[in-house]
Amino acid sequence: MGLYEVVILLSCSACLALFSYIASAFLSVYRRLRARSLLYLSVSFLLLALSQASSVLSAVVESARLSLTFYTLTSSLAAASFFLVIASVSEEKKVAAVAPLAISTPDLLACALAATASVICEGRQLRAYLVALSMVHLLRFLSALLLHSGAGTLLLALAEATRALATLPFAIFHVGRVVGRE
Amino acid sequence: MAVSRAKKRSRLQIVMEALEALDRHGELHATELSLIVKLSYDRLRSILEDLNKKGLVEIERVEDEHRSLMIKLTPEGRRLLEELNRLKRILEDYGLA
Repeated sequence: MGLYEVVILLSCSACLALFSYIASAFLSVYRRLRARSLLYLSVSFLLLALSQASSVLSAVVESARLSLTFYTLTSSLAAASFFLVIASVSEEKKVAAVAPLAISTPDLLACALAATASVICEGRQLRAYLVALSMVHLLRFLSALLLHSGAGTLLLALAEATRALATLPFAIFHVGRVVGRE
Repeated sequence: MAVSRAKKRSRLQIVMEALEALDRHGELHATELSLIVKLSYDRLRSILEDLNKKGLVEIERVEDEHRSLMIKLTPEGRRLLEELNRLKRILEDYGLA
């Protein structure tokens, strides 16, 4: 086992212990107060702990198939955990998050599709452009979500500038491929 | 004239405020507690009855002309408050306290 694996394993094991501690602290209070939000937070931290355990297992098991299963389980458990964080907050706050989410979702889709296209396409240059565009849409997604904060506005301005600058060479590249043939 | 909208509190926030007030004052009349936590008497009473069932507060009817309710923390309620205070900062971060 190399240094890289050791660092990852130690970090994940520490997170597993720390998240389990927080989950048990919330569970202890929930057992006496029975407030649903405390249960959601407790389970959320438990899922984060399990996600770390899954990450450790994906690194140590020998079977490639099992390792892949644990690898994908890591992010699925983390996603379930974040879902519970959203469930634990008040309805008022959830409603406030709907508008930025609706605005930013097409960017998330564009990011995933551009990344997928970059895997499928053959040309190296084209792949690089698609990866760049995928990153730009990810940046736009994050900036729209964080729009209520000062950082979101700055991020959106940066994402828009990057998108404009990255799209222009992408368009020129395509035209150049067509015109260059003549 | 600008009208400030009061921030809606969760049940957990109200419970924490009530437990903290009882810890600070020792014991309180239900009406005093409702003024401190800024909650209608009826709503506070249903919360207090729930806390009483869980053994976190004691409710005693005072034999005076108003037959008012006297509320105090139980040792279990004090322990719970200590644990909630340990988690307070993280609960605040998640907007729950």
